[in-house]
Amino acid sequence: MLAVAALLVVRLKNLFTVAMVTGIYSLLSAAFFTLLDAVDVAFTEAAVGAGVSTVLMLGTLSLVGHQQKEHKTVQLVPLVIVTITGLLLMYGILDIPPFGESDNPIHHHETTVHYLEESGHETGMPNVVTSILASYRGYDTMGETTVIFTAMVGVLLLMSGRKGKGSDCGEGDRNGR
Amino acid sequence: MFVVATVSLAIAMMLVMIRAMVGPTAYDRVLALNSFGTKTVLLIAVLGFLMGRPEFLDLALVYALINFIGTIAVLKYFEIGDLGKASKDSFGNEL
Amino acid sequence: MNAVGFLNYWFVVVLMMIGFYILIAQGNLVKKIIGLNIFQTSVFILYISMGKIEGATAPILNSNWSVYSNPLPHVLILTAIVVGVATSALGLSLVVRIHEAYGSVEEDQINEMDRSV
Repeated sequence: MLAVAALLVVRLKNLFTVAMVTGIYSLLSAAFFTLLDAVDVAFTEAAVGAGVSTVLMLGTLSLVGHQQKEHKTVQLVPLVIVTITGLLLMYGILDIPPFGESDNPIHHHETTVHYLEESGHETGMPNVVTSILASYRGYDTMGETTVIFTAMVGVLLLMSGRKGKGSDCGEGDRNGR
Repeated sequence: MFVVATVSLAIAMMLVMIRAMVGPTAYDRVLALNSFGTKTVLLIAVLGFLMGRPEFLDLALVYALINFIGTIAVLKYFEIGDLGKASKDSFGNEL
Repeated sequence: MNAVGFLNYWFVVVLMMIGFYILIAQGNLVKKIIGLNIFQTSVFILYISMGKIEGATAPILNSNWSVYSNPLPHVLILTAIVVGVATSALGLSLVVRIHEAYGSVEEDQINEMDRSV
């Protein structure tokens, strides 16, 4: 179903409906993340992907218009490039450990084991993801905030150069923390 | 029982997806997005019980809030955007 | 080396290639950014799939459970999602600026105008 939504994005020409389908795609991937036990990621994806980016997209569309120019339906050169890259990636994937096995090397690295076993009484938080994000990797999160701040400054600078016409996208960005 | 609920929800999501695909007008697609959000909320809630972690209900609650805000944003766009001018024919034969 | 074990990853590749196709084949700049988003989501799914253990539960400590999925990819992807939104916001504002300067968001029209100047 995710692939169907993505294909729909390729085919639809009206950018407004594309924004709608992107919202559906985002919700679907959030549901998929829940299935894969990543509740925090699903949470963020739903808030940020389905909420903020749809709003940002709509803000842009209201400024640039929502009709895409007609093109040839399938362009051959990109399709060939994409197919070759995809096949190469599929070949490469044969080398990574199979999905869902508990003896994959990723699950036995000492940091993982430490986080799962010790974080409960080291930080006092039941949610391991939160304790890693806010405590063990707090500086990472601070760097992330810097990235977002830089992006926000960039958006505001780009938007302030425009003549009049409101600051639609700037506001949307501030909502996205 | 939860399995049955999950499967029927998946079928309902499929139907909504079809509506989003063929839906002749943009308004159909907005409705599809909205009801798809509702289906996702239900699916998350049922999945929580299915996997034995009913705490996931919190997640479903947040989804419901986000869905509401998203719909408001879309309708706001209907109000301020130029969607009214682009009449049925540009949406009508889109696919 | 069974095929089922890699189904998830192959699905990721398919999604990634759809995003890649949108990125290089479509002329509309807003569409390109949406393609970039799809590409990003496929990478997220790749990471999250690696952290999943069959029969495990979400990494929220609970006395009824003993096997948890790997929380580390979740943390990385949490950061990546938020940064991804920041980049797409910046990209969209660039699109708005381009629209203002050229009056169009179609790549071929913009190239045409650049050549004729």
